[in-house]
Parts: sequence; C-alpha cells; structure tokens
Amino acid sequence: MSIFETRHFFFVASAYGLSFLLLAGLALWIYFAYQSKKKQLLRLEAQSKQADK
Amino acid sequence: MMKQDKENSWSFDRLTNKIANPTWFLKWTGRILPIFIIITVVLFVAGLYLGFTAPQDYQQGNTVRIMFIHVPSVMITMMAYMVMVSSALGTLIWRHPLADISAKSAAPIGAVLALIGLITGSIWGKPMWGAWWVWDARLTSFLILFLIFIGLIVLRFALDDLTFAPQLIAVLILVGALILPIVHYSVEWWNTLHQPNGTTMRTGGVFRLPLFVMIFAFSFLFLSLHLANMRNAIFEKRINRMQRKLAQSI
Repeated sequence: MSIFETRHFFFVASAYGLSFLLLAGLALWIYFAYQSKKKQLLRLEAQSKQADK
Repeated sequence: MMKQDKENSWSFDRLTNKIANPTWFLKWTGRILPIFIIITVVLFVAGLYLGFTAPQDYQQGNTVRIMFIHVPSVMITMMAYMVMVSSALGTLIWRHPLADISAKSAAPIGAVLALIGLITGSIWGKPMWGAWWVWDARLTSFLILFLIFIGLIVLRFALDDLTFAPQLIAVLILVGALILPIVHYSVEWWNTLHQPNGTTMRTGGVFRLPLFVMIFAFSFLFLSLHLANMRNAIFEKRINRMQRKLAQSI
C-alpha cells in the first residue's frame, strides 16, 4: 500500500514538511548572514584603508 | 621516552595553536565546507529514498517513517549540547579563542534540532498514543533541554558586550549539561509512555539502514552548519573590531 493511500499520510507529510522547512530556514539564515557580513567587512576594510590614507 | 613525550606535546601545542588562529580556521573551513555540504545532500537523498521505500511497520504503519527524522534530530541535539560542553571547557580551561565562538554557533542549531525533535515526536504521538503531548519524563526533560538552548541564546544577546560573558555562559552551559543524563536515562529511571532507548534499532533490520543513513546525514548537516555559523561569528568579531577602530580614528 502506498503512503498516499493511508490515513497516516497527513502525519508523515507534516512531520517531514515542518522539519525540512525549519532546516532550510536555518541554513538560509546562516547563508544570508554570511553574505551580509562578508559585504560589511569588505566595506569596512575599504573605509579603513581610506582613513589610513 | 621523555623526549618522545616532549615532542608529542610540542606537536599537539602547535596543532592547537594553529587551529586557534581564526585566519587559518577560515582558510581550511572554506575548503572543507563544500565537501561537507555535498556529503550532507547525498546522505539526505539516500536516507529519504531508503526511508520511503522501507516497508510499513506492522504496528505503526507508515508513521514509522517519522522515526527516520525524529531519532536523528534528537540524537544530534544531544551531540550539539555535548559540543557546547566541550567548547565551554575549552573556554574555561584552555582559553581557546575559538571555543566561545564554537559554543555560540552551536546553540541556534541545537535549538532548531530540538524543536524538530519535539514537533516530530508530537506528530508521531497523536496517531500512536492518541495525544499530541504528555507530561512524560522523556518529553518533559527534552523540553527543558530545548528551553536551555533558548535561554543560552537569549543570554548571549543580553550579555555579549560584557568582557566576562564567555566565561559566564560557559559555566551556565556546564550547569545545563546535567539535563543530558536525565534525558537519556529518563526512560529507565521513570515509568514513561515513551519507548526505551534504541527501540527503532531493535524493531527490525529493515529499518536500521535508513535510520543509520539519516543519523549520518544529520551529523554532517550539524557539522556543516556549525562550521558555517562559526565562520559568521568570526566575521562578526572582525566587523566589531573594525568598527571600533574606525570610530577611534574619527
């Protein structure tokens, strides 16, 4: 019997769906934090070089 | 023998000093992280395939598939806290510069994994026990572990400006570690509705392989996210240092 034909489909789908949603959210949060911090660091380094001049 | 010991300790010191260097850490994690991400994706694809092609359990039916994410997420939550405990020891005993960064970076990942463990356990509990939640020793102690993660994250935000914050948080992490044996042995120490440890492993060989693959997938996921978050924390420290430097030069 396929998983789609059972009354437990809702439970299995919501468990997997919520788990991967949370994991994807965490991974994206870390990725976007990395991108913004990298940009900020590069901007500050450029500002610091200008200030040294 | 004495000479050999000296040489060994010297090389160990050299290794820890090298690892302690954030620039070196950023360099090698930049190389190793893409490999870890690929391994994680491959393991998740394999684990999901094996999990969804495994037969139904004669008692649990299809809900046994929830165990393939519930058990690994709970196990890796405990591992995340143990990483925080070793990082706390690194902060207090060896004053390792990356130890506090490691503890700080593991907390949000541990909290999310604990939340997944609670949610998937609750979703499994409704069709099997007839209740979304029971105040059972295992469930309650695991909820406390989740709240400890949240408390440590909130505390970090509140105290991050203080110079002794790493030491204070490290002490609190060690105090919080008391919950780990309680979570693990709760099913033996008290009469609980939750099954004893390792039930899914003992249920049958057919469920062991997808479970093992998913445990490895979650382990590599934690490793990848932890290293990536540590890199972010190092960048944050550098940004703060540079902002202070710029403010002084104005």
